[in-house]
Amino acid sequence: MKAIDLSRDAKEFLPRAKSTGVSLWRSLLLLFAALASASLMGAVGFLVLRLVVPTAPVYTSLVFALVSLVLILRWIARAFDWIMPWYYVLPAIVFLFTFTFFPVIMTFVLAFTDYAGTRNGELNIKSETRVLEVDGVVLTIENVRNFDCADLRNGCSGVRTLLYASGNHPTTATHLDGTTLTLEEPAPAGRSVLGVELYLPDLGFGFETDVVAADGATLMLERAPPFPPDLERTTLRLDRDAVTRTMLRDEGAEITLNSPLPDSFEVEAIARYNDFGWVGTGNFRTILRQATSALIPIFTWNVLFAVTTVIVNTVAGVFLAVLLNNPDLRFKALYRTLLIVPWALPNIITLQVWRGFLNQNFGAVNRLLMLFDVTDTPINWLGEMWPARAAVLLVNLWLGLPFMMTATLGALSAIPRELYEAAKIDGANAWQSFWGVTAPLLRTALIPITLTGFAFNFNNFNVIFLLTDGGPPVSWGTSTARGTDILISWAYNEAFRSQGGLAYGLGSAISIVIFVITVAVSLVNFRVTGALREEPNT
Amino acid sequence: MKKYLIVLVTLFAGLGLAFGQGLTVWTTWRDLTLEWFQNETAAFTEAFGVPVEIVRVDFAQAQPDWLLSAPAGEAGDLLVGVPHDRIGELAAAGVAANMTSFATADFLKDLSEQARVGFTIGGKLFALPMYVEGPALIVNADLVPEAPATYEELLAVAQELTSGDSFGFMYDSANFYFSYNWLHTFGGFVFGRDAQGDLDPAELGLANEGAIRGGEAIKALRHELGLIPAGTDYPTVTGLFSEGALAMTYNGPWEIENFRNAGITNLKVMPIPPLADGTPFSGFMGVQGVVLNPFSKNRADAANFTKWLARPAAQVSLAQLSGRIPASGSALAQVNDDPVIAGFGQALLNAEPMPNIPEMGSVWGPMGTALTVILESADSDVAGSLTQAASEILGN
Repeated sequence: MKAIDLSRDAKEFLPRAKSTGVSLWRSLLLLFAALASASLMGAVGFLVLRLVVPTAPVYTSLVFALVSLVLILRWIARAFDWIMPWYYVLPAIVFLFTFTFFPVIMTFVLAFTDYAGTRNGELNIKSETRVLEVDGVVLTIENVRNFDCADLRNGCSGVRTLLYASGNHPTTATHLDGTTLTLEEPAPAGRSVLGVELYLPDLGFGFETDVVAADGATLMLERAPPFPPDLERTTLRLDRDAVTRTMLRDEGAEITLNSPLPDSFEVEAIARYNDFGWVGTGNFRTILRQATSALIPIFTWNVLFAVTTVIVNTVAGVFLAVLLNNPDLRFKALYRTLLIVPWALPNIITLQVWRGFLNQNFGAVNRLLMLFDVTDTPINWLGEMWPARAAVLLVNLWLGLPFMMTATLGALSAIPRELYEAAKIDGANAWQSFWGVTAPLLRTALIPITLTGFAFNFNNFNVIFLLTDGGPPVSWGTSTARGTDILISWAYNEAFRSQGGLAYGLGSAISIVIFVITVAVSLVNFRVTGALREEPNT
Repeated sequence: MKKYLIVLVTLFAGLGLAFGQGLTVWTTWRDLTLEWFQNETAAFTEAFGVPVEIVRVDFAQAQPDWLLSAPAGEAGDLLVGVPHDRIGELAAAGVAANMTSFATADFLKDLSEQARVGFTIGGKLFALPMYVEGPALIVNADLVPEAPATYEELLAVAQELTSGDSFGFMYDSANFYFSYNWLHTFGGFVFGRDAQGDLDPAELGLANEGAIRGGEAIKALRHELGLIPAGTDYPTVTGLFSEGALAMTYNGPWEIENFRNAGITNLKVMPIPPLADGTPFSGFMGVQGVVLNPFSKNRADAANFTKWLARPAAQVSLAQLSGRIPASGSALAQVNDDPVIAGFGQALLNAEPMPNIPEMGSVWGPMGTALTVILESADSDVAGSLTQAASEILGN
């Protein structure tokens, strides 16, 4: 390897500032070429290995790719020495693409499909039904309901099907010697025997094993049964000779295929695939159709929730921090520790405890309120919309307060004491010195915190999911959009809890809508608070 | 260079051989059922010479994970502990193998009718059942020495026992899983069946006259009779019963161990007593079974292990160890001397397996909402709430 030429100036090894524009694209291009060719080498290496070792696991391709990547990068570095600094950011670029860009792209792609757990492109085993009659390209099937394509976007038209011949052949064996099984009559001609089932009377079920070789009526089993079998009850597992066709249309039990079946093929059963595909803007239209019962009320409450939380938490946090910042206060460390406790405990647990506290008849909150005669009927904290919303805000205050308080305490300690002394000399009371000295100096420190607080609470799934689980159900909403659901919990409900779960297509569409809304809200936010402006240091 | 290549190839070949041997089994089970499972696995390995690796998966995550990873070849060969109401979706997604050919006539004859129906779709069996489970009336016999003979008697006894901080009869009434018993007993149903015996998702019986009468009966438990106060949820009910403050509840066998550990040992399990006119109560029940991965690379062994786990002898040991109610009739007969198992067994005789078609997925949400609204106040609109839920279910 060529040693670095020490006689050259160190600057020559760094990317040149003047040509950044050009070399940026050139460098990225080179890096991507390296990554692409390494992936290609990985795939080729894997395929070659498969030829030698058919059972080679897929991850061996990664080893090939990695080794080729190192070699390619070395070669590139020799040819273009100015690329060296870029190698430091190469891992970051790879991770950026795999973990950020790739999921984002997948989300956008999925949002325009009807992909779901039951529309996953696999064979629908449930739909398998017997074929009663074949007439050219028209088949008559037995069980229409099980076959039906109602959950696919265009019905059965254009959906792939698999047609196959029978796979089980009951027969009788005469003799078993170790792993050699002799049948009474040879296996059906033209079909290969994959396995055999031997009934074991001792266990009350049939023993399955693969067949290694078959020669007429003699089968070589992979393994001998662990208990003596009843040879009278032997079943052969034949290959399920299968062909794939596409359906053109279906009318009741009659299905039209795109091309006729091969002449020699004796079809017994048919199953369809769970085809998914493009639905265009269908998912977005579904969301808009629910605008009045889901999107708009949920968005309104989401904004209300985030804004109120930020305001209430900030005011309370600043208030407590100013109190705790008083140098004359005794037991300051104790108060501070106690107030930080909610932050230190995992909220996945504390929120469950709060759920118990807020129970209408058995919870501590209502018992206390009634003990002090604040109310004489128990408040249905989690069962009615506005109490539930108040409960969410209250618990979120309890959760968020320590952070706001600690942040404010940090900012307060940076304010010089002299300023307060000067204010005192000028005759300001505590109130005036707060508004005249503390507030303006806290502003710069608090604005970024409140902005992140808003962004965090706007998508604060934990509190909603664990405290109220989006409930209670309300008359204006749907079963996925309820009293305290925010956008993100609504998306979760739609994607993972309705339609039998895994409605990734619709879920992706909702997350794109949320993305657009969040960007818009953040932009307005930044504009109003001026956070994007470069502020001169005060 | 050549030497390295040879080393590399041998290494990969070795890795490749290590794959495809033995079985990997996913299970959602814990505690006693897991202990049983480990025993059975060891016995199977000894008898068949097939090593089995157990992977524990979270119950709620098991199904989505299985759906996504089975086609990718990353799931286990078997999924043990699948509730039957998920089977429709697994079979439709192509990740549950057709097991009809594994079930011999003897096996089917011995099997409880509901367990068979639970795992059957379109005449094909998609899992081998291991045990059945479902709620029954659980009575704290210290508080109710004489079991009520009719539903009306039960309500009278419960009302007598309800005062202050002690309660007569409570259950998680906003939960459709439990409350379906009332809707069903009074004449409602989820999906009808067509001539072939398949569930018809278009025929919904959750807003018919019977369901409305059932809804009124559930509402009466809270508002007219004052048995189940507002704010009652699942943890409240089990907590009160464990403290001995609740005399009777409607819950499943999975809570029995917790109740016993909490010191409530004098338990009596029985069906909810029939209505005055003799109509028996008939709620939901579930069946748990083994699903075989159609993408399994070791299908023959996986099939053997599936049958091993579902054989009656295994169900007997499962019942003895963990109190699960066998799905096989001969196994149930062998453990019937346990009063709790016998009680649940009797209560489940009339029960109905939850519908196993994927359409059931869109029933829970709207029905939960409807029950909440019905229970909210004494003058809630039962018919209206159920009709709205029904239209939301059919609209999905």
